[in-house]
Amino acid sequence: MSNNTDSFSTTFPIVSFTGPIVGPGSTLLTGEAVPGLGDIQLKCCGLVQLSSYLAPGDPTKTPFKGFHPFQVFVIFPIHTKPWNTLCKKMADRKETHFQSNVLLSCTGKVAGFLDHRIMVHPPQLAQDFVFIVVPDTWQFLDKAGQDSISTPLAPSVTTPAKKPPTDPFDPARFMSPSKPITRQTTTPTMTTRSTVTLSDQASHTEPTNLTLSTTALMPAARSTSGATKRPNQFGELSSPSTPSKKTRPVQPAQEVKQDSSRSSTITLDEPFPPSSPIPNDTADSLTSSISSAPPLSLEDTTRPHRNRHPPKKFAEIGDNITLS
Amino acid sequence: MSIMFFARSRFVQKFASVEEQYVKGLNVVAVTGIRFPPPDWTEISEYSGLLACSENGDSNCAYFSLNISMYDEKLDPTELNDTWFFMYGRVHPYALTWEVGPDNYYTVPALIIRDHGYQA
Repeated sequence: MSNNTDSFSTTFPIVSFTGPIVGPGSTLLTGEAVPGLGDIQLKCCGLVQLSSYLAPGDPTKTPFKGFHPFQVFVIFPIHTKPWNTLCKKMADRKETHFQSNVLLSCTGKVAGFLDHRIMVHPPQLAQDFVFIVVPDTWQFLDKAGQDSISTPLAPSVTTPAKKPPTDPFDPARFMSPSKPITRQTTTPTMTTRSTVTLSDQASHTEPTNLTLSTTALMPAARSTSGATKRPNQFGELSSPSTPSKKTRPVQPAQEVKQDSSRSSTITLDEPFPPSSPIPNDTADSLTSSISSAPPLSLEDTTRPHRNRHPPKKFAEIGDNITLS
Repeated sequence: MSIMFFARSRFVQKFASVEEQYVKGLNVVAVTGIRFPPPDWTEISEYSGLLACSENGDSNCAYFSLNISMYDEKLDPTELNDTWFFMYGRVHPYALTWEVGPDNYYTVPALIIRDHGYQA
């Protein structure tokens, strides 16, 4: 036990959230209390507003059903490695990234708790922990941020097994002569983003974010069922037998859109619902596309031609994908 | 805010009725200590003023009310006691106050772990 205890105690807890920024450290920390930080560092940290939805067993007693707010302190420690190089642009920038009401989506390690005495607006109770979070992955969801969302999870989608498995650890299993289709990488990332947003009740600005995510997801949803031009061709080819197929490719996105429009009710009771519609739907469509990947990949080299003149067998495959 | 962590619990208690539950639907409650080891950079002079010092001197351990669901009769909640678990769930780092009896209040930050969110 003692050995285990030692190893576990050196493991950082990891948190993940999305929420509006309250402001930068330069305005929310008392500079005199932490003189060593300096202006640049104070610009590269800030507080984020989050809340937890809670319903007690007895609704007549505290804590009452509803959103309970709290704040976390996010810091990029730019005086140390690797952040001095990793966040050089952030440090060099005149303005802080921690602008009020910009959404920050972030996963990172908890380094400890912020000393209440250095906060301009400390929490009410001494027992309140203000987590100090050092982001591992992060995204400031301002206007400029919408284009660069897709990269981190790219490998997870581009690794459908294309060869018969030998040693499951064999790196050759993950090699591929064909280029990954970058469009598809948006799907899982957006899924993650939706999930994150749903799990963190990100206050009044949440609907904006969800709308953005949903619109960004729509082309991605199409791309899982084929190239952008293909749904029309499939529709023409397959409409006699199954007239409804033409609308299928967009369906996942529509479901997501509906769900997100009533997200406040979904997430309220079950912030991590085991049968959450969004992850499951998208996961299903992903699974289906991945399980159908080997037949598609055989023809990878002819993909450009297929886009122009799709043979009937691909129409069938495409139907399978969109149907499942 | 979701959280992944290793933790050890004590004072495990199972509720018979929904009204007793701290969080609706979660029928087991415990006190959990999570370690937050300070990274090296927090010891640099620039950053040393950021971290709060805890009362008992164990600056990297914090205690939460662990709320977990355990409806499977095969699971014995007392097995949580003093066992290290890896858990995934939600955290509310500010203290919440539960009325646990007449003029008796329990004020503590909370962890909410739903199904399949823990592994010994």
